[in-house]
Amino acid sequence: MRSTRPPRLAAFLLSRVSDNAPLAGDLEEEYLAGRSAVWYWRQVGSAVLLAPTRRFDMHDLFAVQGLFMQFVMLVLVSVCAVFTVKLIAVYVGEDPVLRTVIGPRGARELFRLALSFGIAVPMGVAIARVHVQSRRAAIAAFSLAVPLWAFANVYALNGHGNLDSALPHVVALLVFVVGLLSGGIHVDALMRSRQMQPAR
Amino acid sequence: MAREFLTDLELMILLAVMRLGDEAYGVTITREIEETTGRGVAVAVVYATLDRLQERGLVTSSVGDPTPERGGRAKRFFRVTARGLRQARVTRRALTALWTGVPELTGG
Repeated sequence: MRSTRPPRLAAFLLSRVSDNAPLAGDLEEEYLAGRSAVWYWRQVGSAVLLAPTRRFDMHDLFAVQGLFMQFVMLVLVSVCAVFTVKLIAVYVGEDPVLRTVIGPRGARELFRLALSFGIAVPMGVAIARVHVQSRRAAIAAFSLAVPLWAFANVYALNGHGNLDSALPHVVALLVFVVGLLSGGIHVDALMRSRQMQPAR
Repeated sequence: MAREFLTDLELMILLAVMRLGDEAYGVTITREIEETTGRGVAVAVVYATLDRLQERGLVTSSVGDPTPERGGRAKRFFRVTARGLRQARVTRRALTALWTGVPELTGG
């Protein structure tokens, strides 16, 4: 005689791999309506195969991929920023033409900061434009990553804690971060004002 | 951005939910597809597809009362949203447009 309950092992397996109570109810209802044990086992097999995709769907996969790409971009932009600022320092400090044109060291330092800011602003604009969905978070993350990377860089290359020689770089990097933020915030404000405009 | 067209299974399930009205839940949707199209489909696959459709805002679901013949488990009823209806129409238009002008497919 046919059992009035579905196969125990299959039902147990289903309860372990799936938290979908309506599905378990549906299978039991169909079994009681006359479906075979083989049918029940086949249905449980499908649920077992689908369980991982339910837990880890494509959205998660894209999220992991996105996180990885964000990390790579953060490192790349940070490296670019640090080396750009260093290059500017070398250029402003050693170029004989600039020494003649700008003159005193203080003025050259100001020029160097202005140059850092001028390069950072378009980078901030570009970051904000690329990260449409998470503009503010991206700008904040990039701005945070640059000084963190710079700290490691300054510590490694500038005489192991020799803060005197590192100070101009740190200041230039802070100006660079302000430039990134300014560019990003400008785009963010622009986009928000466009979104708030009533549709014609 | 939501994908514009539906896969064949998504479309079948959406249409089955529409045909069943207030009685659309896992068992009836699966039976409707089997009886109407002759295509066997696992109940778990139907649920996975319905979850996807719900994420895209094409269907909504509500849980009914638990019943003894289901081991005290409740049914999950589905309804097609206005967006789901629009999506089905868009898919039908696209398929009909592709269908026309293919001589091999005219007639029985």
